[in-house]
Amino acid sequence: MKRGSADRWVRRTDDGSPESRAGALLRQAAATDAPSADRLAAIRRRLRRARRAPQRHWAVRVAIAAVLLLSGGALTAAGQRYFHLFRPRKPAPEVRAPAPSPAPHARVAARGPRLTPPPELEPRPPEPETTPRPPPPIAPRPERVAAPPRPVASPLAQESELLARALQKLRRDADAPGALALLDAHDARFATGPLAPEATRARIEALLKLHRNVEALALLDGAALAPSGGGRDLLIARAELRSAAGRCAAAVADLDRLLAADRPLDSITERAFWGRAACRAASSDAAGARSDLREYLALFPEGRFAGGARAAVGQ
Amino acid sequence: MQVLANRNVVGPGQPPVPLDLDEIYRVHAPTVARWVGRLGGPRADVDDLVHEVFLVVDRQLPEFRGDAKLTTWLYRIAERVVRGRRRKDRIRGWLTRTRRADVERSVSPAPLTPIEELERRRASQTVYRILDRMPDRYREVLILFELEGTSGEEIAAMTGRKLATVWVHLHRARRRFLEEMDRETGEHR
Repeated sequence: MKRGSADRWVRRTDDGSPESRAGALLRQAAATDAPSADRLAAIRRRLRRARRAPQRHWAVRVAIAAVLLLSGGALTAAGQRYFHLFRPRKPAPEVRAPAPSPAPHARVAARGPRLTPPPELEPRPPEPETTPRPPPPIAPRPERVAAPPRPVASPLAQESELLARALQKLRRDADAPGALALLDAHDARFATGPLAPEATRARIEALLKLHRNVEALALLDGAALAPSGGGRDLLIARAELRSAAGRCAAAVADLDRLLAADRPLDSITERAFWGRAACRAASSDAAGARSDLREYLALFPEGRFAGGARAAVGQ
Repeated sequence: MQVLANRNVVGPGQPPVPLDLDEIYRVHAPTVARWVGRLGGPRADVDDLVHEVFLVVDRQLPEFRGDAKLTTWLYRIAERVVRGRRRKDRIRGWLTRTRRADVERSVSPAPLTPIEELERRRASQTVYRILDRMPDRYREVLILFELEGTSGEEIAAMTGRKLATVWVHLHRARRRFLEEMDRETGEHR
């Protein structure tokens, strides 16, 4: 083999040989997009947060250990009770007269010294007074007054408060991992709560922000999305993820709903036209793709994909 | 982020290496992102992998003695992280075969025509399907040589292999690539 950069397949011109075909294939695969500065900055922020995360890891571990201990204790108690119930009963022991309990001071003595005073670091200065002080009068202990019962928030109010905190983290603080942690807490407490659909939407939004597209699509696939209001954001995201996964038919179904009547002239409509054109082209529906691109150009002559659309339709 | 400013390590015959994670990230993050993107293929979550690589860098930075070039050290970490992730993905793929087959990484709209974009995506998927059937050592050399444009000597340094071994692996990788490419095109005929 010739050893040098000149021998690279990707630099071969197309001469019909298997090596040049392989080179063409590799050339296309090599043309990947470099991550943008924004994405790198986002990773850097994530890295900074992760470096602070060990504390949270410890908190989680302690919480898990506590839960395990408690559930272990409960299991042990339950087990003991179970075995106790089915254990053959022994004859009752003879009733003996209770032994006289030792005097209180004897009990205290029997326990032994509980705490040893800490060694003093510095000698104490001599006491200025030599006469012993009279003991302070013992004030009668005030009667303990029962605190008024605190108002307990309803489950809906608690769920709503938790979800509001998650949304605040997600949208105001741009802290998607923090939002996911709160949404996990929400799911643990209110899995079937009345706000569960809203929590799912928030989770999808957080996953998309973290580029965890596989998990986001799995949730989106099971979501009922309307092509209006806030549902449009999620519908276009699902269509694009489905398209990227090669599920063009499912993607086109979503895009058709987005591009039906009453569509606003916004970036979602732009993306929907472009995505449907791509899917139609992939499904060998060149006429449909061209029609979408023409309509797109008519609506968005200076749009984000206008250059590509013009090139594709040959304008 | 941990800043180990003014801490330099001088290896044998090497210039001082600034051990400042911020600085390392600023200078090398784009290269690391490119490496993990190439090694991981179109399904790789590049952002997540870059994040993981720099977490390892942060952890191992105090142990870096400057015996190797910083880029070589970074590459080896990146390669290990990607290999580990691919192994996990394979296991996950066996467990959840249907979902894994359905879902692939989303590609943001590039300034290409839809047809060009799809062609590129398909070519990339074909290439990585072929590469994924190869042993890791062949796969890695072919990616570095053909996709990254790295020289044989650099590959030897980055992967810790002898130069002759690199050429042997490249030769075998290419042979496998052509065989698998024929099989792919045969399947799609």
